[in-house]
Amino acid sequence: MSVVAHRSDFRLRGSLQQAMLWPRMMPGLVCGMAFFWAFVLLDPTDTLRGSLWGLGLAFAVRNLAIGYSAFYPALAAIGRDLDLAARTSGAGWWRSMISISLRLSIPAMATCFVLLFVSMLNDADPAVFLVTDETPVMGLTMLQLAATSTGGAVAAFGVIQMLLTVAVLAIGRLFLGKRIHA
Amino acid sequence: MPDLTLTGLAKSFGANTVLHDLDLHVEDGELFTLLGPSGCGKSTTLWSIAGLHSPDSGRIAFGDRVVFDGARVDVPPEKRNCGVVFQSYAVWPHLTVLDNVAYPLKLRKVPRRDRARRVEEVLELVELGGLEDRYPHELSGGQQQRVALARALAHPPDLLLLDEPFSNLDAKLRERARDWLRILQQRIGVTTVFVTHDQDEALSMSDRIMVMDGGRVRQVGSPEEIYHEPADEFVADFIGTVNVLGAHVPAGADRSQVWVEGLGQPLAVSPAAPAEGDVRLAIRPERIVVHPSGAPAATPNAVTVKVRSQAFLGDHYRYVVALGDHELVVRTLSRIDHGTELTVELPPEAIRTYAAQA
Repeated sequence: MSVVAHRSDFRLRGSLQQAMLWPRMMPGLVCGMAFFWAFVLLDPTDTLRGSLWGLGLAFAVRNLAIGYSAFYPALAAIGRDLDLAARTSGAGWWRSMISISLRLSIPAMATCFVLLFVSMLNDADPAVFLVTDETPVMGLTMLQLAATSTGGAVAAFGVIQMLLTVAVLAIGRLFLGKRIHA
Repeated sequence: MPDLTLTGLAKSFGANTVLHDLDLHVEDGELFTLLGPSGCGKSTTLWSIAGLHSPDSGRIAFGDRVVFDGARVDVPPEKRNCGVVFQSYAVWPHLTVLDNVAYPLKLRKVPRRDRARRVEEVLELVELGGLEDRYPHELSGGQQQRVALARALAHPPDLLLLDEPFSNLDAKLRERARDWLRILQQRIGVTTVFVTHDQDEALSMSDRIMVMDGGRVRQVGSPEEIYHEPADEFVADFIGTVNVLGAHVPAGADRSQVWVEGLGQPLAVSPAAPAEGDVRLAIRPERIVVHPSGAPAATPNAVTVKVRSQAFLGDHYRYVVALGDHELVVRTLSRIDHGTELTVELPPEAIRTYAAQA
């Protein structure tokens, strides 16, 4: 979405830049409720609302601003001439993005994904109206357990969250931590 | 190689019009330079040719192939087959020299063996053979510029577009690079549009030059025409060093005689001034003849002046002398002391006259 907003001729790219910040500007509960009603109205079969995909979508949109603010400075540092040179060499817009701009911003993307993961892992608000018995969310479960004073389970979840974060950081470093020649 | 024709090209950014109905024809194999100060519209013209800007109106054709025609045709940059060298070179930092140059060929699905042969060929052409495996950060500015040029020539292009390619090089390297590029362009015969604000580059490299100002064409001509017969005061002033003096042609008087403010005698001009009333005179310093010990009696436009300041510039001296109410820059090989009186001759055919702007 950042490359569409900043490196394309998309007519509404100016609005898109702002739209990526809106889900973060409103309280998480309101965001979750908006997704709940959107699923109810747009998906009468109710398959999306009750699924992990529906939850994932809500969390992704809610945290879009974090990803955007982590990724955009790196994208802005990559000169526009680099992808225009690809265009004049014969690459279409998407090909020039994939082979030049996004390729050069792999480290920033990795940072962005790790940040998003950590943020989503700890987030609970958007899930309040969307979780079912089959799709519990760790952050929300921890809140519910804390509210019933089940401290031991909350601590155990906290340790699991930490271990997951460390594992994701290690994987990110292993696969995406290469330095790009500059 | 196709020629290039631009017809009625116009472009605005908001309320700012950067191109006003631009017409241009570049001959097959010609090196054509767009020259002008910053903001004159030369890069916008180049980017419009490359397809990186969409003009508001007009027509662009490469030979018989129309690549832009108002709202009807707008061929995207990847399908125009132009080779572009950007001011920043835009050499991709994550790819080796070989991969940079091979990129346009890969996109065109050129078989591996042919691709390797063509890459080797263009790298030899730009004298970068043996540096295939280097990354851009391991190259000098001049070498990066050559990689950008090799990449632009690899496919090979219908048109070569150069956007101030020498501006990041130091003075010595720039001089060498422009000689080298001119020879290369003549050897491969590709139709080339070159953008610069450097008059030396434009004069030394071009077959023809178009001088632009405020999105309008001021003059199109050979380097000699542009330098010796500038169409207006702007061109005269922008190209090289020129003395510009305010003058007057009395109503009903002979227009081949003009009166410079503060000078007690008229100056003969050839050709005659374009209008009566206020005019502007332009004369190049090197066209002014200095007679340190007085000019022969019949010399036209011989004026006695006093030296106000002097500067030694290695291969010549540069003097500022008083002529009427004006200062005149003259050049000579002789040393003349400050305050000395001397005679300068302003040959009538060396003086260009222009109507004064309102």
